[in-house]
Amino acid sequence: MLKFLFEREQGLLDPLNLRRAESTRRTFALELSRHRDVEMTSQGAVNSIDIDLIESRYLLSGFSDGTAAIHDIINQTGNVKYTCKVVCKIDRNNRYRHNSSIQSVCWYPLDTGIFTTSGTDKLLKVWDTNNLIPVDEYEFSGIVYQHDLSPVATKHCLIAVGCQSSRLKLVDLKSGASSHMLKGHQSSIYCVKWSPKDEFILASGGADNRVLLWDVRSAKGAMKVLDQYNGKEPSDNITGNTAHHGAINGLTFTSDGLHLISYGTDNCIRLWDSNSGKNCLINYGNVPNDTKKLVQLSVSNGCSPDVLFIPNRSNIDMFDVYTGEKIDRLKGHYNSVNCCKFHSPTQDVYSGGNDRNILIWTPDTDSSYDDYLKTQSELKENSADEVRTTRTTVMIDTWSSDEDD
Amino acid sequence: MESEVLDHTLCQEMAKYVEELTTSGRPALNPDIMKSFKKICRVSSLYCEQAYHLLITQLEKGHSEIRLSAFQMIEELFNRSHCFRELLISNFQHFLELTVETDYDNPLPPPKTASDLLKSSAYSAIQKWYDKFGEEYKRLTLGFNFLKTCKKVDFNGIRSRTELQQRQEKEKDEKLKKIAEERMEKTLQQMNEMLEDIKNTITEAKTGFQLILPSPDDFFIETGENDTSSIKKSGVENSKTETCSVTDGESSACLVVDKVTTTTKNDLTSCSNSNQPECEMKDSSDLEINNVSTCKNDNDNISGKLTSNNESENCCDDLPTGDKTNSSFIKGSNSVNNESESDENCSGNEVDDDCESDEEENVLQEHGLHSFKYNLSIDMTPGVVSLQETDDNKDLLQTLKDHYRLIVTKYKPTVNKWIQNLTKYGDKEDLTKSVIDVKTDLDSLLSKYNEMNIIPDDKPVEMGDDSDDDFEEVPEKEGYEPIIPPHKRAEYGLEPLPTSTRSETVTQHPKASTSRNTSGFWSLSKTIDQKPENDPTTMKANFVRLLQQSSGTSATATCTQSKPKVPLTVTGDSQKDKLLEKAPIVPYGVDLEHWENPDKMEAPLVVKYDWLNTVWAYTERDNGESKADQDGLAALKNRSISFVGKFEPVKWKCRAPLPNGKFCERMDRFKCPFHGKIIARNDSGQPTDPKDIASLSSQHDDIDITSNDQSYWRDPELEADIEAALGIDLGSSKGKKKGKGKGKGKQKKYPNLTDITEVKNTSRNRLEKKIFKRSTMKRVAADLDELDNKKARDKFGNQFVYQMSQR
Repeated sequence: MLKFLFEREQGLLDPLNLRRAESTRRTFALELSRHRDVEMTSQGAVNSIDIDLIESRYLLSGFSDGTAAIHDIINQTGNVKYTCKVVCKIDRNNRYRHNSSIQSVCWYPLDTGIFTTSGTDKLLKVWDTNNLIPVDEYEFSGIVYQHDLSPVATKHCLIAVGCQSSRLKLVDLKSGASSHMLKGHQSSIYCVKWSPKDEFILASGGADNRVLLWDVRSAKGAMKVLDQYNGKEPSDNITGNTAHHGAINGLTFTSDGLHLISYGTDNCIRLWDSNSGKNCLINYGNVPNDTKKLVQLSVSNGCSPDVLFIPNRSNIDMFDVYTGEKIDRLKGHYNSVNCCKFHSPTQDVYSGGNDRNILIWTPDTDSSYDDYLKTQSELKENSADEVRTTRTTVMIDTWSSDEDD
Repeated sequence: MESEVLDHTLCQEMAKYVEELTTSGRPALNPDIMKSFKKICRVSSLYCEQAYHLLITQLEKGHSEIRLSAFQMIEELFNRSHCFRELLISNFQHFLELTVETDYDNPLPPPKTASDLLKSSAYSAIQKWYDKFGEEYKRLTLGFNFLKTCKKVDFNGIRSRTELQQRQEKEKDEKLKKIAEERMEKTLQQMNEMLEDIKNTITEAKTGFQLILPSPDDFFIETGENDTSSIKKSGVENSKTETCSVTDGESSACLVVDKVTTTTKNDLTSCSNSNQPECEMKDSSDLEINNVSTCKNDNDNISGKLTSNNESENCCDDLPTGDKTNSSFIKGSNSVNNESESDENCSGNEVDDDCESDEEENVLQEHGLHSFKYNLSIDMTPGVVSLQETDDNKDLLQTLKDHYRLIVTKYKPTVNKWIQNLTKYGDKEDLTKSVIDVKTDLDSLLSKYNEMNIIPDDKPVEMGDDSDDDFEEVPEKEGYEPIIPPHKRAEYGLEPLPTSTRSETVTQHPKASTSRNTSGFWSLSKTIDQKPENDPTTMKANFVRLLQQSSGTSATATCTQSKPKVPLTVTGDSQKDKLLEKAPIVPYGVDLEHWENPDKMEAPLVVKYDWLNTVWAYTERDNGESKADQDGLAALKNRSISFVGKFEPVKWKCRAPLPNGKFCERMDRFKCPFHGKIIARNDSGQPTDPKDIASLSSQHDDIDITSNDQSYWRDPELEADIEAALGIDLGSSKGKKKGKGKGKGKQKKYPNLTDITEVKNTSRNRLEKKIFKRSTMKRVAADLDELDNKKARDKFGNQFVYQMSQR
């Protein structure tokens, strides 16, 4: 670290390198945060979370009881210990809320004034954040599993919606209508994802075991059908090339948009080259996956080996994206985890699961918190010495003397 | 990093403890083992880690009792070790799955009671942990919240429940304390009332004992030793001067007289002469003191004489033999005599130096001793003391008896109760001590009384028929007495019997025997004569043999030797010979006839029918003959005598208790086939003899162990025999093998745990057994087939012809 700083001082080192090294170090040392909490708002499981792209400050979460909440995750109080307060929420009393479970939430990439939610009530809602009123609603023929807004789009304003039907819908916010229909899947589409590099590239995966890459400019059909065997094995005539042996319920691009990661119910994770559509053939091992709905994966941003965060039942597994090596396992949830999101500015991870918790995983690299605790206890010692007992005594062993004999 | 290394033995020990504790099957842990386990865990965090892994593996076992115990251990460690907390909380979800059933796919394993207990105790423990450590351990908080919000565990309810429990416990404690106080008060009050009485009784009883059995120390306080010794001294001196003049012959006469008249005197002298330091007189039979005092008086006169006698004559050989019995007399007299003797010695020294050595020799000789180096120790074990109740001590004994009864029935139990109460509730040690002292006093009194062994005076019982017993009872004689003993003939007015007639009346044999007995001093020649010549082991036989070997001169010797024998035998067996002459000789059996030479015995001849034609005759004659001979011989050599005993009908029944409440009615002589050996039983059918009870109980144990109803009455040996005879397998060997196999399989690894694999006798099982029985299935299938066949027959039965014709 010191060496890095020194070289940076001398101008020998690219600032990106330093940044990358430090963020990698921090990412690899993620632990359950001891001093940060997210306020609980709902009685439902957390199905989807998203962090806004503008400030990276607001955490949007959708719950299985149809409610949604926005938390402020930046600590501006000055206290080390911080509980993320709810900025606003669509609670159960909101007349516009989803009647059933929210499956997917997404910020409008250019403004925190708009966010979108979709759920099992077959509706996609576009909300005005300030008034918490849906400004637009779109109904679909089936359950909406996931919708996504392109983070880099400038020329279009399309929401890709994957729902129970085999057609991928594109909703144009400008016109306020579902403008396109992309035909290619043979069964319900569980996940859709825009490429972070190219605003017209879209990936989708569904229950037909296929992952399709689309160019939304051509409505003819899928640009590419990803083949897990890379054409080495004769494809099935009926289904064509398949990406997995089971339904795909997790899709994400790497932050540079060069690779696509898919997660299937065959307990496999596959890395694809998003340009060529080739399987990179990286073995991540067996990651159990037995949910029939969307699982939100996340990939770190700005680390030298990028890290994939993938919910694995009640844990979150960390993988090296390009080697498939398992880095760590984050344990903390008490029920299966549905979603996780990497927060790139501070290298935090936010995760939500069926145990109704949103947990914050922070880098546990320094002893700053311990120092803080110490000073705190000292302060308390000076002021009132009855409080200090708890904190210090909890950490020490309390072997009673009766074991002596 | 610290270079800490786990000690292998400690780890093994830990594993052992864990296994022991978790497989105990009890709802609570054994505190001692747990303590030692904790002690190991305490050593370092590495051991905590080890313990954690061990416990988690135990927790994963599919048995709720194991899980419960493991959980209890975890709870103990969790409250103590930070390291352990960290470890457990890092894997808290798994822990919750295993203890409180958070995962519905993995429910808690079977024993329902244990799993319920596990669940409830885990909930309360988690709640406590949360209260205590929740602030610091994030995951614990999360877990707690998870349980609270998602699993809807009512932790508030649990908390309030625990609070309620605590309150109840507090109340219970208070109640117990109150009871204890009350009891304490009560005992103290009782003690105030009764302690005086008890102490009085004790003192009374003690004085009573002292009056009846005064301790030996009490005797010799009044009779000062100095007085007697001074008297003795003078006496001795006097006697000595007197006896010096007495001659040897006179003294011997004197001694004879002494011997005859008083043995006690001899004894006393012996006592005086034997300088035994071991002669400690611990005699408890102090009652004979009067007797002794008289002895003392006599002694004054005679002892001098005796000592002189002893000096002059050394014929007191038999005195030491009397020592042991009589020397246990009295300390006083002994010491006195010793003194007197020492005085004597002194005087002897004054007179002559040689005298001393002489005297020592004399002493040695008197006692038949070789030197003084003998160390004669005499055991003075006090024998069984018994006290005869007499008119004198009757009242005393009566009061003692009353005290005894009072102590046994009333005081002892109450004092015991006091001690119990005091030790249980009270903390007043001095009071307890005093009570214990009182108790020991009482105990000693009781034991004293028991030792005293009072022989009750049975006079008052006989008082009633005293007048009747004035006459001595004589066995009645009935008139004529045919036999009059010779020494009483004079009384009857008869002449004394002439000796010749007497000898005539007596038969020859007894006479011989008497003569032999009376005159019969043992002599070699006679014994030689008595032994038969045939016996080669005897001396006589050897003589004969030697004589025969030697020349003709020895022949005469044999004659002389054998001569006396001849008339003896003749006289002895004359009558028998006569009888034998008359007696007819009846052949009893061939074997007896040839008793002495069995080789000469001949088998009966088989008559050969030579004259018959070969057609009719037996072809293999020779072989057959020899065979027949052998058989015949064997038959002759054997003698079978049928024992004709007397039939005694069995008069007893088995009388073992039967399950229907009656007794076994079988009348077997020795052994009932159902209940074994016939033994003495009481009215309820239980054996009375302790031996039988023991053997029966051991038998029962055996039966329990095998726990096989069949094996109880099955005798494997007998069955094997029967099987061998019949050639049919009755299943004895099978049963045995099966039993063995079962035993091996059944031997559970952890006998304390409840067996969860045990097949329960549920209604479902029973129904299954019935429905899916092979025969039932077969029957149902057959019926269905029948129906199908019928249907087919009805439909297509007539198509046979067409089918055939079409082809």
